[in-house]
Amino acid sequence: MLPTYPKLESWRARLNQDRVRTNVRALVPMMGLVKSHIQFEGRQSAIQRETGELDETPITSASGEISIEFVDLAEFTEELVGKHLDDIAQQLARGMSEHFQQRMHEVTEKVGNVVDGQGKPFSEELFLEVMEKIEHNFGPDGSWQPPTMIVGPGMAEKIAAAGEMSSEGNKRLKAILERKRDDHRRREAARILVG
Amino acid sequence: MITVAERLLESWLDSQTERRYQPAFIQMLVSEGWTVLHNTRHAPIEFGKDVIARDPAGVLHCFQLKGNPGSRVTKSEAASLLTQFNELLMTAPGPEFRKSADEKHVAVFVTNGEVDEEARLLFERAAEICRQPGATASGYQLWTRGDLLKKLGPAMRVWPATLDGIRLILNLLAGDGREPPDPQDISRIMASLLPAADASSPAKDAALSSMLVVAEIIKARWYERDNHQALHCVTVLAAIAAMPLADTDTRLSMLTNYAPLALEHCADLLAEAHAKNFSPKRAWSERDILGEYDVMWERRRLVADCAAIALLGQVDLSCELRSYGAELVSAVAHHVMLWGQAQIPSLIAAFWARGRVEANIAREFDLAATLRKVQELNGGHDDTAALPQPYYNWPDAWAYFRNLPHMTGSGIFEDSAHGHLFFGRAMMFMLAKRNMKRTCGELWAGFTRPIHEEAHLPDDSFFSAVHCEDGAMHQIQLRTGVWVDLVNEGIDAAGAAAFLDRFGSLAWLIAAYVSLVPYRGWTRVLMWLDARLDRTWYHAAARPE
Repeated sequence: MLPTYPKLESWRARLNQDRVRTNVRALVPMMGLVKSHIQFEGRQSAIQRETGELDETPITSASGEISIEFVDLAEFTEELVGKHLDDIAQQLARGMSEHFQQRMHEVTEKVGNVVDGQGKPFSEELFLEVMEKIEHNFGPDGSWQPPTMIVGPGMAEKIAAAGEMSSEGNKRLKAILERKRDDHRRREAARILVG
Repeated sequence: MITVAERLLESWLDSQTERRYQPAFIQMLVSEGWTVLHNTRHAPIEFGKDVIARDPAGVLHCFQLKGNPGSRVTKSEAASLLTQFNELLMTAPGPEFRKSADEKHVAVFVTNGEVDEEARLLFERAAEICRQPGATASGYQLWTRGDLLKKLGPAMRVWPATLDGIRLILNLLAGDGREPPDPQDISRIMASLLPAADASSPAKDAALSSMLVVAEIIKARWYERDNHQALHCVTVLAAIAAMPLADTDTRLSMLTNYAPLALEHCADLLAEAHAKNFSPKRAWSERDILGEYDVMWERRRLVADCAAIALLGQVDLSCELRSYGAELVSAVAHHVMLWGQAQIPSLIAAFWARGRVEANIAREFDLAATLRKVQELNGGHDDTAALPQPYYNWPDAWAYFRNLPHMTGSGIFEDSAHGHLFFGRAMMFMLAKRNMKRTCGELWAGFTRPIHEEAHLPDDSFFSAVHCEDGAMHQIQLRTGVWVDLVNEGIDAAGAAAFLDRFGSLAWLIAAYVSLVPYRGWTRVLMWLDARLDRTWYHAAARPE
């Protein structure tokens, strides 16, 4: 081997990794909403449902590929290193985003939670249909914890343009939430050991 | 009772190939009073004979070394070795090794493993050939793991007895082989092996040989990684530490036989770098190009440093490797990435090495440019730009310039070298001795701005990288200079290192040492080296008028 300083290499590798992670989080904000969970052992992961059904969580790898020329040593600057790392981050972000969306689609389709607008513009009706489909979270005091909407490019502006909900819509939302709160209470009440 | 040292020795022997245990084997023979005549680590193989030596009674022995780390020589392996074994028995060593044309040798087959009974029988049957007319061997011996451990025993007698010494050795053997060695640690280990000052001559012989055996043992982890630069470093430090014992011709000869191993490591590094297309001009990495950003420039210097020592030590290199080495030293000395004064002695070594392969004045101008740069950095107005003292290595300087105090255990954050310069006078003397009068004149004003730091330490402290608490550091202030006085002072400075005169044939080793332990690059030592490693316009026999 040619001489090196392993401590300096490790420090730089960590710094590079942090830069890529930070960039990926900035490029794929929805990844930031998902809590990281490190799996220390095993090569597969599965969720065992209450029914005993085993729902495998596919583990996929996200990768980026860059080609680095053997440039003049004086031109191999920290800025150039940063540029390469940013390229990697962009590729990783793209891969992770695609995987995230694909997985969400698979999961929601499986449980029948897909609401397809079929090309229609965003509307109060469509929104309430979504709210009806999903499971809602409530705090210990019963307060509603609103879900986060992740939308495609340009959709946020369209939602904002749709304006406030109508009083009729608000009534329907309230009714939906009451039902969902009852569901929540039932689920919580079922957490008992019987017999 | 088996001691920790014996366990370590066994563990070391059980993990060595023949090439790796050969240097320790040589030292082992020397410590028993053998005279080594031939060693394939330094020369081409001699008809199946790795080592040719005479025992203390003068009987000629030829050795063939095999590596069977932690294993046994089986019957089938013995069968596959019979051709070489027969060569060992039937081919006489060269006439230069024999006292008379009909002198026979004892053939010795050496392995660091065990030998199966059936394999032993096979060798014995093959050795019956010795009784036939025409055989050049008078007999045969088989030295196995147990014999080697017994013979390595004397090294154990000098094994450090202090907890500190044992801890240092254990730390080295537990390392991962990638980290560069700490010169102070190696010097401490070697110092703990030195005999008392009033030791008898045989005790000194034994101590010297044992020191060199121990040096080979502590290199184990770097051998495993083929970390040639680290191996070079340990070899140089061990040889230098052993120098105070080389006060007789016999012991000096023991040392001069061991020292070329450092050159072999340099040659190995050059060959590896060349094979891996390492270039001093381009970004290059071993594994992760983005992760190795911080070590690229320093790696380039370390590889070039070994190239410079290989050229100065005149190790046998192919034309291709020699040109490659020349390219490395020229590139590093011409395009310098200065991070500290610790680099300067190695740049000076590169300067001397360039003298062996270049026939122009470019190297003098590069040396002058380096002097100008360090004068500006350490004697200028920007105190943040000053190059740290030569006591700090690259990781220290790196932590300092990146403002990462937790990454260094040194005092570099509380230490400003602004206004102080080491090695400046030596570089100025070197330019003056080469009659670079105009260049020296142009440099002079900047040269007088910083205070010139020079170590005035006891001669004995030179042989150890451990910081010395005796003696003094002198801060030299300069203003007006006289050309003739400058040249004469440069010439005379070499005489102040008379304690090194005995080691004139090892000047390359001393150059390697000051490259690795820059704070031992005292002005008088650098000028002593300059007088031996290069030709100059002015010298002791040609002074300016």
